[in-house]
This record gives sequence, C-alpha cells and structure tokens, in this order.
Amino acid sequence: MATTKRFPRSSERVEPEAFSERVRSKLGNAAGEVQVRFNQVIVSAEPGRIVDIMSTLKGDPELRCDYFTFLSAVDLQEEGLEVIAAVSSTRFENTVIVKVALPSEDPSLASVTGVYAGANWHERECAEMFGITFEGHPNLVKLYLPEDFEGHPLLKSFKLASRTYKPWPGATEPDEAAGGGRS
Amino acid sequence: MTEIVERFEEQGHGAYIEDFDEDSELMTINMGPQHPSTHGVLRLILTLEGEIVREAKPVIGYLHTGMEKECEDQNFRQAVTIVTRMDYLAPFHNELVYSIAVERLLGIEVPARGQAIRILMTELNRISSHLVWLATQGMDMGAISMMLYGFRERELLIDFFEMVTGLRMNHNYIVPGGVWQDLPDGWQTPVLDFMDIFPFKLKEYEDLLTDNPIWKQRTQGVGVITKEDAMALGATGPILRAAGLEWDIRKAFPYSGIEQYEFEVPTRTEGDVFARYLVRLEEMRQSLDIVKQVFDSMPKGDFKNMDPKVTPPPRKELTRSMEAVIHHFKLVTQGYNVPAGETYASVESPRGELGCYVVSDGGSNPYRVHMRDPSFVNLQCLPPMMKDTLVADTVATIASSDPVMGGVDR
Repeated sequence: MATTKRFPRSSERVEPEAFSERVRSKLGNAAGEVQVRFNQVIVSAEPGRIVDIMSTLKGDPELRCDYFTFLSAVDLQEEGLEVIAAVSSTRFENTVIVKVALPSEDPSLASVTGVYAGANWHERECAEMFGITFEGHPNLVKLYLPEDFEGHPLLKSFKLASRTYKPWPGATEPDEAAGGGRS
Repeated sequence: MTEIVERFEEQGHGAYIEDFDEDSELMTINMGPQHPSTHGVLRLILTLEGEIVREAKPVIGYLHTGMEKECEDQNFRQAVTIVTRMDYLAPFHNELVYSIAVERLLGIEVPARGQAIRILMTELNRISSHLVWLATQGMDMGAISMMLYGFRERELLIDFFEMVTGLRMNHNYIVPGGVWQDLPDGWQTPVLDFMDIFPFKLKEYEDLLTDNPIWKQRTQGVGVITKEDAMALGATGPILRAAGLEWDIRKAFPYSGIEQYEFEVPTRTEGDVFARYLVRLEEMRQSLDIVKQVFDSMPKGDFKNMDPKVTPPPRKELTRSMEAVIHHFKLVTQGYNVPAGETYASVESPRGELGCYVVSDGGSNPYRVHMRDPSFVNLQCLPPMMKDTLVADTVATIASSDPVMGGVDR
C-alpha cells in the first residue's frame, strides 16, 4: 500500500522572513525590492533579468524553487502591465512571487520555458490574453482563442460585447414616460 | 492515402486522418474534442507509427468562456458564483481558495465553526470528485460496473451538498467571511450514514480492482511520468504524489485550520496509472478520516464573520435597526470595498494545487482574478506520458490525469 508520513512534513521548513533574506542575498542586485506579504516572498525584477532570477531561484542549493506554480499578468492601465511568476520550494516550503513591470506598448519579455518547462502554456495564455511577446518561446501560438481572433481579451481596454452600452428599455425621467418607455 | 482521407470526408467523418507520411509511415490523427473518453472537450492530435504514439498534442480552448474577465465585472461577493463554475467537480475548493484570497486582503478572520464547515465540505468534495474519477477511469477501460458504483456513492454526497447548500453543483456556499448559511438541522444523519457505508465501499472497489489482473495489465507501467518531469512541468496532486514527491498544500501551506486534523499524505514512486489509482484511493480514506475528526469536533458559534461591513445583518435585525437596514442596503447595492493589494492563495483540490491570484484596486469589484487550475497544468504532462506508448493506453492515461475541462479552459 501507499507509504505515508505524519504532519509536520518537512524538517527543513524555513520561515518566510528568513527565506526572503536568503532570496535577497542570493539574487543580489539582480532583483529590486524583496518583501514578505501574507507569508509569501515578493520580488520585483527588471524585465531584462527575469531569466537570471528564475535560474537562480531554481538552481541555488539554498533556494531550490523546483516547483513552477503559475505565470500570469495584470493590466495596470497607466502603469503598464505586470507579469507575475510564482515558484515554490518543495523542500523549504516557501513560495516566491516574481513581479516584472512592462510597458503597455509592445510588451515583451524573455521566456522562462528554458528554466521551467511548465511555463509553456502559461506564457501562451498570457501572450494571447495580454499581447505580451515571450522571446525564445518554442511555440507561441494561441492557446484558448481561435487563430484569427483579434485583440487581447484580458486587457482593460478590451470591452466585452455583452457589457457595452445597452440602453435601458424603459423611461428614466417622468417627462419621457408619455412619449415612450416600455409599453 | 489521400483517397482514404477523401473518402472519410465524403462519408461525413470529417478530417479524421489529418496527415499521412508515406515514407516514415507516420499518421496524424485527431481524437476529440467530442470523444467519450476525453472528459469533456479535450482534443488530442496524435502522431502514430502503427500502434505507437510518437507524439501527442493536447488542444484546448473549446470551453473557454472568459470567466476571469467576467469576474472583473462582478463585485467580490458575486464573483463566487463565477469561480465555482470553473472546476465543476470541485466547486467548494474553487469557492474556498477565492474566499481565502479575498479574506486576506480584507484582513478578516473566519470563526472556528465556519472553518470547520469549510473543511467538512471540501474534504467530502474531494471524495465525490475522486469517485467521479474512479467511475470514469473504470468506464474508459471497460469496467462499466465501476462507473455505476462511483456515481452511486457520489450521489449520497451530492444529496448531502444539496441539503446543505440547496444545489447539487456550483453551490455558491463558501463566501468571503465564512459560509453563507449554517448547517441545517439533521445534517449529522447523512454524514454519519456515509461514514458508515463508505469504508465498505472502498473495500469493495479494492477487491474488484487492486488485484484484478486485467486492471493491473491496463494500468501498470502505463502513462509513466518521472518525478523530475512532473516537477519541471508543475504537475500537482495525485500525479506528482504518485511520481514520488510528497507535496500537499494542506501540509505545506495549511488553510482553514486543516493543521488541527491528523491525516497522512499517500505517495508512490512508480508514477504510472496504477500508482495514481492507489494514491487516490488512499486519499479518499484519509479524507474520510478528516471528515470523522471534523464531525466529532464541530465547534459551536458563528459560521461567518459577523462584521456588518462584509456580512449582511440577520433578518430579524432589519425590522428594528436602522443601522442594519443601511448596512444591508449598501451590501446589496454596491457590495463591500476591499483594500488595494494583491495576494495568491492556494488550496489542495482533488486534482492538485488550486491557486487564486486576486488583485484589488480598492473598489468593490476584483481588479483581476486569476485561477491557477491544476487540470490546466496537469494536461501539459500528457505529451511526456503518452510518448512511445500504445494508442490503446492513451485513454487510460487521459483518465488518470483526471482533467476537468471547465477548469482548464475557464
């Protein structure tokens, strides 16, 4: 039968604060601000350094972020786009979230599929939904949307057809009531 | 060969055979999206050399409805109704992970009873989801009786969910702040019944399958993925545990007070379909154990956070308190504002790590909701699992990864 073990699982668990210190010292000047929020380590990174940072997170023996969690983006409108990549260390039981700010015009970022193969579909989704080009991605074609789909649905500028202006069928002012409104 | 393709198309079969290379004898055929064994609308493009699959390419998106975008148009309370429809076999987990993320941003706590109800519902949901997996895995491999047994036991749970939430699926029950309604009177009876019956049923499944030579031949050494591959691709849940890594969000990042309960995380090292079967069977047993502990220690008290800024006041308050009426009106017409910020929450769904990234700009609608769905990630593992295996095993492999296309496509 299956083998089992009792809680708590890992004796090597590191507290998030201590882990953020490790991340800060290992990444050095490759990363910007490193902070801890809700027990997760948040790293802000320059777009040019993303592959370096991810390689360090994965390869460094004191970080060992061997498990790829997800990659997605947020459209911050005036402040451009923000790409979020989360990885976890199964050994030290910590999650690191890397944030990269990109401009809204022609956003592009180096692909991390070389480091984490699992980023493949996440980047494809992100590319079609936000219009971000992932340079070096092996197969950057549309994932969910049809080939001929135009636009990037998760951008705030993309309005859903069902949410665009639809006039209220009835009268909104007392004066109008005589002239029209719902019969 | 083109004649065959043409004849197929003339007969209305569509381009079933997509391509045939005379020299290398590689044939590209299409499987799905409407195929009984693809669990919804998964499409696979298989490159075959005789009976051997040389390459498998999953094609998804047939169920994509833009739910993440839709969440941005609802307020924080209403978005629960959207997220619960994503992974429709584990609706409680979807609601829970979203609610945890919103609660973190709000900075509110959930009372002990609310937490315990959440664990009770999600662990029962894990069993009901695994039962659907067992049913479909059996059916796909010709064990039709498993299909009947799995759905028969699941019905007991679905009835209980209906009793508690009013709905069989897409319950909209776990909401930011707690759960929207207390457990009804007499909720103990169906749970007790289930706890009595289910160990015998599990025994029955094991008697039927575990030592069954046909079952073993169809599952052992089929759809193998190594621990390294699974981790690199981000595979989670029973796939990862069957490949040998003991990684469970309930242990690593406990939520909703799950750390109070004693349970074990089953693992195997083979990484094949049979290992996933054993892991899931043991997980059902462990979940039942958690349910027993929750049942015995169900705390009394509030089942949701009673902060009037988040939770509508009780009905009887509305007739005598003006303040309650104002709170009620504000909550119903606008919802509540959530402080600006973002967070990533995760829970262990039946299929693995289910995550939710919520961004708030300080308004009453989520600015962005992203779901990290385990099925989506697990489907990426199909190509390495299927490479150089028999075409007959593809069906067993798909079933063992237990994809829910509603979650994959969102």
